[in-house]
Amino acid sequence: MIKNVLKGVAVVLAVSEISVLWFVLTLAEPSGRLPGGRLSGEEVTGRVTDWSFTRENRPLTLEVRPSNPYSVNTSFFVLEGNLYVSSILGGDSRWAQFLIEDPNLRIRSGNKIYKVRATKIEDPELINKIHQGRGQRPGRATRTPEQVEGRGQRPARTTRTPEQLARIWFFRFDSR
Amino acid sequence: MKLVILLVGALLVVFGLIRDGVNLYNEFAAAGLLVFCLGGASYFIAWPMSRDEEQKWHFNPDSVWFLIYLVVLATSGSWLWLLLR
Repeated sequence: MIKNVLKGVAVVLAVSEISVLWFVLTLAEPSGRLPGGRLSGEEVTGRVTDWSFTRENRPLTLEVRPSNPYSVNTSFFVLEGNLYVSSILGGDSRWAQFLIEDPNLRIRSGNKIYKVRATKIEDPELINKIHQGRGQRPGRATRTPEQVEGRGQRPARTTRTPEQLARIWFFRFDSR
Repeated sequence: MKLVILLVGALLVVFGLIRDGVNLYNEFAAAGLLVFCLGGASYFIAWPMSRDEEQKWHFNPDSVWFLIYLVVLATSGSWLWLLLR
């Protein structure tokens, strides 16, 4: 009796797993935290010197590894007109690894696509300035649970330790 | 014992779904699925082929169910690991 029930459950689990795998593997565009492939949208030519307008369209979508496009949604911030993206996982993030291998990428803000080049920020003073600009000093709240509520995500940590902050990689994106 | 493992897994899944809904970030559902698959797999442990009393090879259908539970077990394990790391 119980084996028959378990067989039925196994069929449901197998079908669900295959459906989820098919959905994930055939994603053209990133969905939430799931990565996608080549982005679609209107490609903008011309140099952008002030990225402040990107604040109107969240999230920002990155398309890295031009040889075999890999796209992800990410948070970003604009400081003095410059566009910055952070990898909270540092080098453990796949897209950050791809950016180190090839800094050329495309980004999509709204429905427009921009060709940019990434530069990893190594200057400690600038990194400190970025942290201060984002209110991410050690032990200080970054996002309250109320701010993330309703986004379909679990609440982010409200404080980051110095070790966590040191792990973050920052990239500046400039037009190419 | 196997039944207890199954029930614990099923309860964890139900609790997770009630608490967090259908959500990729649902640790309880991931843990429950892992435990449930562990219990489920234990009912079907079998090699794909075995010899009968006449020493003839024959196929064990239970191994298919065992394999399905193992695959889902590995998936839920990876899911939980990604959530907890």
